[in-house]
Amino acid sequence: MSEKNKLKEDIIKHIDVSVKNGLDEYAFLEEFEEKLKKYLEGRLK
Amino acid sequence: MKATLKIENIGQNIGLQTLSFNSGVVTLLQGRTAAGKSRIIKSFALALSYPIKSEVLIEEGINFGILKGGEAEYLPLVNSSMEIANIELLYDDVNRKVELFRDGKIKINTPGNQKFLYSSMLVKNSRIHNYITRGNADFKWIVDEMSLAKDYEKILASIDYQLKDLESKEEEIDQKKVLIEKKDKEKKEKESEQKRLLTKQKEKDDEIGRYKFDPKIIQEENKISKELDSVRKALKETLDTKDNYEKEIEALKKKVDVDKLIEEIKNKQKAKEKEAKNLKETKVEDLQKEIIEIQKIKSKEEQEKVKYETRKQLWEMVKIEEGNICPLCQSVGKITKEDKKLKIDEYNKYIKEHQLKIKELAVQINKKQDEINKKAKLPEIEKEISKFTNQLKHILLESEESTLKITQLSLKIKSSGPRIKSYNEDIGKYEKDLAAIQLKKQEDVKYQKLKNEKSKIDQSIGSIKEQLNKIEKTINDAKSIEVYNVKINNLDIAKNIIEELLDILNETRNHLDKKITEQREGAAKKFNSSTENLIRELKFDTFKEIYLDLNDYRLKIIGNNDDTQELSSVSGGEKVIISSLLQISAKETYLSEIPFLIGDEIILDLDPERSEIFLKYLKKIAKEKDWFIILTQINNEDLTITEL
Repeated sequence: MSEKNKLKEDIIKHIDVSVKNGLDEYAFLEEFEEKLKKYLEGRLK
Repeated sequence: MKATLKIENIGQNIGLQTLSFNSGVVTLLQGRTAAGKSRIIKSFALALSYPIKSEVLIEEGINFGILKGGEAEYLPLVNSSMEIANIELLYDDVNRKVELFRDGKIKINTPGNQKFLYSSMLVKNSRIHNYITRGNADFKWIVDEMSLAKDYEKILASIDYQLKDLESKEEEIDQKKVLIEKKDKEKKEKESEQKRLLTKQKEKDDEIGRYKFDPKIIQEENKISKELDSVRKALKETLDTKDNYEKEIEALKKKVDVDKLIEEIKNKQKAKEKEAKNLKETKVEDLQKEIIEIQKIKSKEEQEKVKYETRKQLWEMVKIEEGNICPLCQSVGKITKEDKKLKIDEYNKYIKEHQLKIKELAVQINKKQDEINKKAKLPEIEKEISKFTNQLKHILLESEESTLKITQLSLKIKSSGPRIKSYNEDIGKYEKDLAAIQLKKQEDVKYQKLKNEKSKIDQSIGSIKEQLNKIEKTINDAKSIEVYNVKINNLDIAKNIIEELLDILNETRNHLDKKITEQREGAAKKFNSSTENLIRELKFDTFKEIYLDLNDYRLKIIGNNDDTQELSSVSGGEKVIISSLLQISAKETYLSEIPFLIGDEIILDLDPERSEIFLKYLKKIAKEKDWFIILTQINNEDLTITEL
């Protein structure tokens, strides 16, 4: 699976888990942006 | 199952009140207004729903009077004379404790479920009841509240924000590329300009090299100018001094040439000495005697004069007639007019002669008197003589001094001659030197002009260098972009990654859209199914079907004749039934784990037939689900708690 697809699945999973566990918007956003940042950094390597 | 509700300082009640309830039955709270029914159901509501986070439900909580808000200054549940109130609800193995503070703060030991408010409180001012009674069929909110759609929507909003942000980054990259292109072009132009100026700068440098102007010449010029000024000043001072000496000599010469003046003074002195000598010789007694003698003569003359005047008068009185008598000799005879005239003339002559003599004598007397008077002035004259002597001495002394001073000044004038000559020679030399420098300076003007031109070229080169640096910086800055705080130094790579992220986010967005729809539809379907069962169970003949339309989540009411009924057209009692049905459906679907259902008089206020059907149903589900169903009813008695 490509990194892109991995990230996509990871995000969707992250969304579903966050909602299921009672959404904490700020924590979600922080983690979400961190995922995007990590992907970006990985792409730049 | 038993439930115990302990309330302290709630509403109008001060102190602890403990109430017990059984599950599986419908419990009826009856009592007059302000008997305490309301504080009991509000205590259940707060204990089972708090914390309330949804804005829609906070509004619901304020409406119920369990949260501070609106115009309420204090938390309405706390007794107005108390600062703190407590609620404790125990059932099964659950123990909920709520501490209420007058200022609005609420502390809990374990969280409730905010959905309890709209699903388990069958009261007149509940949100669902209000929607129904106002004829508002839009129930998307309840679908959102019952499902996770709202949370997914929140995430969707965040994703949209991220998408927008990344799209703007994409735009920024495009703008940066345009900027880099523009700046590259600008850079080339500036570099070409710089090259041209550098050539020009070299040409000027070569040209300047041909002028070997010694900058020391300016210092020399300043030095000579200063010396020239100094010599000119000294010459002027010397000439001025010489002039002053000459003027002084001219003035002194007047004091030296005093012979005439001395002669004049000596003559005056001699005259005075002579006068003094005469006066000294003059004897006052002799003069006085002479005056007496002269006065005697003068008296005689006066007498003579009087005698002739008298005779004259007599002759003047004679009348010219025959036989007149001579007034003097008394002889009778003829006196003619001529005779009279001759006589008067004769007397006039005598009078005149005597008059002259008298006058002459008076002059002599005066003279003599003057001499006497002058004699008195002798000391004064002698003083004047002495003054003349002093004057002569002073003039002679002054003359000698002046002669000496003239000699001295003449010597000084003579001595200034060589100095003046030397000064004039110096001035001539300096002026010649300056003229030579001026010639050199004319060449320097050309040199300076060249230097200025070169300086301008240098400045332009500096400015272009600065501009090139700025352009370089702008290009370098434009070559990178920051995404999620990561600096990417290649715009093409950045654009590719952003596009990948946009793909991921768009797909995530699609997932969210799907989830939101699923959540709403799922909630609505469950709700509809529950409502359908309920209608079937209650066997109300008024409606065939009540459901939420899955397209717009509006409430649809289908009558027994399969006709769609407008919410505004159904009766008040039917509206109560619909709202109660919806709430119970919501509870059965999403909140069956909290075994409490609270209803105030709205159900028992229905017409007896419907009220009985409803009550029968509530008793049934209380038993089936082992719920605590608590209803209130108003009467004129004190509060009573009865199990139905």
